[in-house]
Amino acid sequence: MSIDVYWRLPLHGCKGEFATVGYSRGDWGTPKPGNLAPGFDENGSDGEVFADHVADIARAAEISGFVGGLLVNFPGTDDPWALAPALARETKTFRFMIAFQPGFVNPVHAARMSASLQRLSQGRLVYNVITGGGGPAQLFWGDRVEHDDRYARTSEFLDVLRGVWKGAPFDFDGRFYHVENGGLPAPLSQQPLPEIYFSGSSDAAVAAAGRHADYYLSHLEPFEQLFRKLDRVKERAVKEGRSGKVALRFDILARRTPEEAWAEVSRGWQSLRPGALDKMFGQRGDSVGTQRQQAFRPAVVNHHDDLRVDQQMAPGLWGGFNLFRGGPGIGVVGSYEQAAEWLDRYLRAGVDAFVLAGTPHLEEAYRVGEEVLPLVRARSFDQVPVGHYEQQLVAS
Amino acid sequence: MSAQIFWTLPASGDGRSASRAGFSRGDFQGITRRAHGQGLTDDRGKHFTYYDQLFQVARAAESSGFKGVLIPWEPTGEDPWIVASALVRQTRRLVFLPELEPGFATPVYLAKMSVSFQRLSGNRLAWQFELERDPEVRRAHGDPLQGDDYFQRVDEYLEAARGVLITRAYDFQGRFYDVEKGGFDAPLAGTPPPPIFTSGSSDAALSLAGKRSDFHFVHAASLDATKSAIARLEKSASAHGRSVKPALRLQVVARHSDEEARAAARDASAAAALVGSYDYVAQRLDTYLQIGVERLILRGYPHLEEAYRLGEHVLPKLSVRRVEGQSAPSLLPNSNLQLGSN
Repeated sequence: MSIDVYWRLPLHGCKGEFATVGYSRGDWGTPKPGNLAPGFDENGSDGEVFADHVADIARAAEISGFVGGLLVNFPGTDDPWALAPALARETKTFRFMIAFQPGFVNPVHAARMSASLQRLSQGRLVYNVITGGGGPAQLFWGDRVEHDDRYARTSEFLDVLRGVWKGAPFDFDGRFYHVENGGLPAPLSQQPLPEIYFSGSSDAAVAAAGRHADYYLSHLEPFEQLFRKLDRVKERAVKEGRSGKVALRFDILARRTPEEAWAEVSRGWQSLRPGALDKMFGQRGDSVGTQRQQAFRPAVVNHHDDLRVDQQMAPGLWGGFNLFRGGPGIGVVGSYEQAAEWLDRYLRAGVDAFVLAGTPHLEEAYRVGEEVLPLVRARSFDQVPVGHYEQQLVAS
Repeated sequence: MSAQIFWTLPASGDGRSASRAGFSRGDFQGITRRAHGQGLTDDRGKHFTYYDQLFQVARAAESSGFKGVLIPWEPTGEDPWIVASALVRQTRRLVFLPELEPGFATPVYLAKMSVSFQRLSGNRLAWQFELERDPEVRRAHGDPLQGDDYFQRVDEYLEAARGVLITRAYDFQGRFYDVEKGGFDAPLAGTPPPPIFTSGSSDAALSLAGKRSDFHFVHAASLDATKSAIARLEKSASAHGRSVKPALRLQVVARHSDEEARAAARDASAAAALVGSYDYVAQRLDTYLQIGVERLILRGYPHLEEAYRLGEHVLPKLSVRRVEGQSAPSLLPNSNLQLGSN
């Protein structure tokens, strides 16, 4: 089986350097000379919009060999359902992995939107279904449904979406959705259903993922904790008769030498504002995944080295990425070889796909595509049996 | 405010005739396209989708001087939101008016999608909602509500969707929707809310339009019917201390002479509301503008050729001073041109 490697599209803005705080690409920061998309000129703005830059990143990623990108979705980001169709006609092979909460869109209309997007892009839509918190309170979104019920709703959502996709007549009478004689029209229903990447770390999430996910998508956690979770996911999926493929999502800060890479981290560390650490470890929403990420935090953090993870296995995992941007904390820092070794380590442990990222997203797409991906030796086995991760833990 | 003329994107196929069975553009009739004759090279393969054709129509409308395009929602058609988003970066000035089902996304999520659309397009989005969709069609789309319940929900929907766009720390408690501390921070904050278009001729639809809409589609069966619909709309709007502008959708067959137009309408088996010579059609459109219609949304089959025809032969004859976007186009090169690569 071939390993799909995605890149991230930063719909929250970007910046020219990893180690600075605040965004200078897009309009999330204070507009000033040196800002891009929009840029600053004698009239104030040069007329570029952030979508121009996102399109450039998508093209950089596809030409560097990434199969597509994750379009992240938070209250402060631009919206993937607007960006993906806008960029579909400006890219050739780039797959659009749209992050969304199913509860926010009616499943029948979501099916039509998705099928139209498949027709437009010739089959390049992928879902990243998110259900838990992680953002602000759900009522910000106008969503009254509680955490575990949201997974039940996600499950129904995907049942309805699949049902109408097969065409009429489809009837459904559930807790959250009621459909009578529904179904997509012919040229739309002939489109392939998008692959589903499913996120969420709670028991409710794992149960729903087992039923619906093509790939279970996780942030990095400390190795042992992560693979115990992935075993749980796989076991559940196999019970449901599904393959239980897993994908990992993390940032890579890779340079020719480890020293160069860590110098970037060190520079960033010195530029941190007081309180940045507390903010990073602060609780947000009801996301179990966020809580699990925070669990590795040492009691005292005086130096960026204190945030190293799994140092006993191999150098190169660091848990401070969210000091410099929103999102998951743990990622890879090191030489090109070390970064490739981490990818190989995860592949050997049974991972099936990656969603990678680096800042700045445009230049780092080229760098990771040119310097890191060529060093990866794809694993030599295809099927990962239940309990595999447990054995890997013992072996490592 | 002056009037604007829009064109229509055919979201469920197009062809030389308005008869759906004969549509040769798009794959909605199970026909992909007419093959070349034997022995002729045809390299098109699978390189083109219906979106390439929709793009051609959008460019035709933009180039011919239409201010924007309506993208109708049809059970058999493409999703209008996706069509609008797909084409907006490849056009420069065209306003997009996708027809959306009220409830296709939650009001907050519709607002979020729309903020991004506004940001990437230079504020070229407007919303159209049909308030009287066949209940059977709505049930097929997961929306079983009927009657007063339905209108109350749409009322809440429109209030919350706009409210959350223009207010930070937006709170809303309704029967169908709750929002707590909603709204957007910079740079998403401050995006102009899309104008709201609605359609529907029942008392309930007119009452809701009077309360929430910026534009509402009125009848075109006859001039008198249009006038009385405008009067009803004005009454409904003034009950809420508001003003709602009338809009009108018209299928047009215009030719050099009335005879040619009638023949074309017969051939096209078109249920056209307006058939006649260029002069006659222009005169009628002018009449609608004079009685207060602010948005004229036109269509004709095939949509590309007819956009050019009306742009070249009819729009120049309208009372130009009242109409935005129909003045002589600027000849300056536009650096924002986005070229597609797909």
